[in-house]
This record gives sequence, structure tokens and C-alpha cells, in this order.
Amino acid sequence: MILAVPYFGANPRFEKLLAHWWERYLSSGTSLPAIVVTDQVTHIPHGYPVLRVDMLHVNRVIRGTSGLGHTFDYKGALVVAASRYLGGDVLFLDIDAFVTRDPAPLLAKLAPQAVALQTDSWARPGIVLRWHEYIECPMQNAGVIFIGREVDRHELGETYARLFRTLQDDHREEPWLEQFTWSAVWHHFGRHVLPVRLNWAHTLPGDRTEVAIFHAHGDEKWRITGL
Amino acid sequence: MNVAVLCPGPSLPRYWRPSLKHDVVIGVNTAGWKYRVDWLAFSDRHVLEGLEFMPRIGFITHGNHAIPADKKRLDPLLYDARSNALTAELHALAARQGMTECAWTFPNALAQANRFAQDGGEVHVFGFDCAEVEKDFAGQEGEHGRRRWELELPWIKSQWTPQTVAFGEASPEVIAYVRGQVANSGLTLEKLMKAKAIMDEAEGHP
Repeated sequence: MILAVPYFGANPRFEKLLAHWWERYLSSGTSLPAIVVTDQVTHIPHGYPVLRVDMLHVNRVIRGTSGLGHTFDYKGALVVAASRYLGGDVLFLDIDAFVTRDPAPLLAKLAPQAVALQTDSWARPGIVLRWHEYIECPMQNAGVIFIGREVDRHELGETYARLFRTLQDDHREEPWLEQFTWSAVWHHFGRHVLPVRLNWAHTLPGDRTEVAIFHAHGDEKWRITGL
Repeated sequence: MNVAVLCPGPSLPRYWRPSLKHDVVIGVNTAGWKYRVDWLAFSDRHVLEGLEFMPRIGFITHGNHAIPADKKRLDPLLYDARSNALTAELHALAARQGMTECAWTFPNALAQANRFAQDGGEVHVFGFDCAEVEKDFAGQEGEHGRRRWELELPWIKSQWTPQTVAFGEASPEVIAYVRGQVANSGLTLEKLMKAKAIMDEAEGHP
């Protein structure tokens, strides 16, 4: 069981955010090793264990447009590509999903065949996704994704690509298409629920003392890190 | 069960922390000088002689090496010509290298790790750098040059599985090689090692 952080691009502000993520990870005392997953070209500063993956096979799920949609597409593609290199249990964490305490006990309760996400309760709840027929599928947050060791990585990649293209027909310019796709993938793989403590955000009510992953999405990450 | 294998590459202290939880920890050579491990794999006598504390359970080493009576011994799986782990292809590889079996410590440690993890567990390899350095992380001098890695990497590749994850600083080309992703691409080991040297130079490493 490992933690994996997708990282790409050449934005120095995000390089600092990676350093901040790593510092928090180390100070959390987690029992799980972590690795930075990236493409073949991104510069990674010295001092992180890195897995570089070939993006050639996942180019079909990256729209050519620039901006937010492209960025999210790229991140989703990176997760799909990296999952083919990582055969065990993996928790993919966005660079603004900080480890605050050991997530291992919570992760150990998840099924080995699970693709587990948490319903996105702060962005766009209750959307209806369509593929083949109308299926009600709550929008999932793609900032924290658990992929169990028994999930067939080839099937995961093919399913992601198929659903991405299908959803793209109705959401061509949608910046959140990657998140739509992960929601549909989540549905396909049995709708396994990620505990809220593995993807807790400041917008959620309740006690934060037991939180293992604090997802400082949006501008919150810049506010709390001061970067 | 999940297994950690600690290689004595320069990056080991950066990426291995005893707080990381694994069911079994295997040290390779001088990794056992600095870290508490369950099993220590070694081939050279000086590794045993340099120990200031013992591995918790025992040693992965050839029967020719005397070990403390209260410690267990596991025969290196690739060291034993009678072992099923040594396939015909590996026998041929050994013959090409002038050996009758694999005498390299890390591939044997990896083979044992795979056996421990065969119930669906993962093997996490720390400090796997294939670095061209005079000394390993513990300050032990040895043959850590290109030629050595060229000889050892095919054995490592033979024991690398989809459940193996490296936490080290081996080049992407080396990782791709041990994962079997460049077998038919025309890349030679020499080119792989050159790529590593070029990357180190670009990063400002020695």
C-alpha cells in the first residue's frame, strides 16, 4: 500500500507546493511510503522518489485545449498511466491533498477490488452523468482516489478512456470532464465509498481531529501554505 | 504480506524510514549495518563482520558462511542451482557471466521478498539507485561501476514483478528495463547506464 502524488508541469509555485506536501507527509508519521508520479519530461527537484511513466498510451484522454480542463485531463491521464506501473494498493493524492495522520488503518478497510472515491459535496453535487443510458451518478471528487490491488489496471485504463470519450460528446468544453469521468469509473467499479476522513475539506462540517487527508482544494491551498 | 527491501544505494537514508510499516524488512549487505532488519542478505564475509547489531530473525546467505547459532538461515533462491527459481533462461544468463548461479545479493534478496509476498503482497525497494559511486551509503567501498550494474541488472529484471515499487534514484531507463518495458526497443544496458550518467550530470550529481 503506497501513496502516490501526481505532479507535472513547470510552475515554480507548484514546485513549492510539492515541497510543502512532502514536508507534511514526512511530519505526519504515516506508515506508508510515498512516491511522486510524473511524465517523462517534468523536472522534479532532487530528493523525492519518482516514478516516471510513459504518457503515450493515455494521450487520447487529454484534450488539446489549454487551461483548467487540459490540466485536469493531464492529471487524470497521469493517474491512469501510473496505476499500470503500480500493482498494489495505491492512494493517489492531489498535490493539495495533504497527509495529516497515518491513513493506513482507514485504507486497510477498503476492498482490494475497489476504486474508491468520495462524493464531491462542495463542488457540484447531484449531477446526472450519461453514458449509453441515463444513470444517476453523484459527482465524485477526483482529488483522492484509491485503487485496490485487485483492480485490473488494463480494464481501468480502457474504462476510463471509453467513458471519457463518451462523456466528452455532451461535455466537450467542460473543465471538470476528468472528474465526470472518474465519477463514471467509480460507478463502473462498484461505487466503493472512500471514508470522509481520507478526503476532508475545509468546506465540510464536523470534527477534523481524526482527519487523515486534508484536501485544501481551490485557493485554500495557497491561503494555508502562504505560497 | 508486504515486504521492504533495503538496498545500500546513496538514496537509502532519504527514502527509508523505520516508521514505514512492512510485515518483513530485508536488508541487503551494509543496509544491515545501519538499520534494524528482519533478514539480512549478504554474500561477502565483511558484511557479517561489520555488524554492530544482528538482524531480528536471520540471514539470507550461502551455507558456507557461518552465522550465529541463534539466527535462522535462508538459502539464496538464485544461488542454489537446484532451486526452481533458477529457470533455464537464468541458467544461461549465469553461464554467460561465467557463473553457475546468481551470486549477486540484491537479486537473491528480491527473490526471497517475492516468496514472502506471494500472497498478493507488495515489495517496496528502497535505495535502489544503480549509482556509479565509489562508496555505498554506509561508506563501504566496492565495485559500483557501470560494468557491475550491467551484469546485475538482468538478474534484477528477472525478479521484478508488477508488485515491485522502487523508492530510489535509479534512472527512468533502468526502471523501464527492469520492468521489461524496453526489452525489444534496441536499448542496450550500456545505453541505459549512459542515460543514467547523463541525467546525473544534468542534476549536478557526481
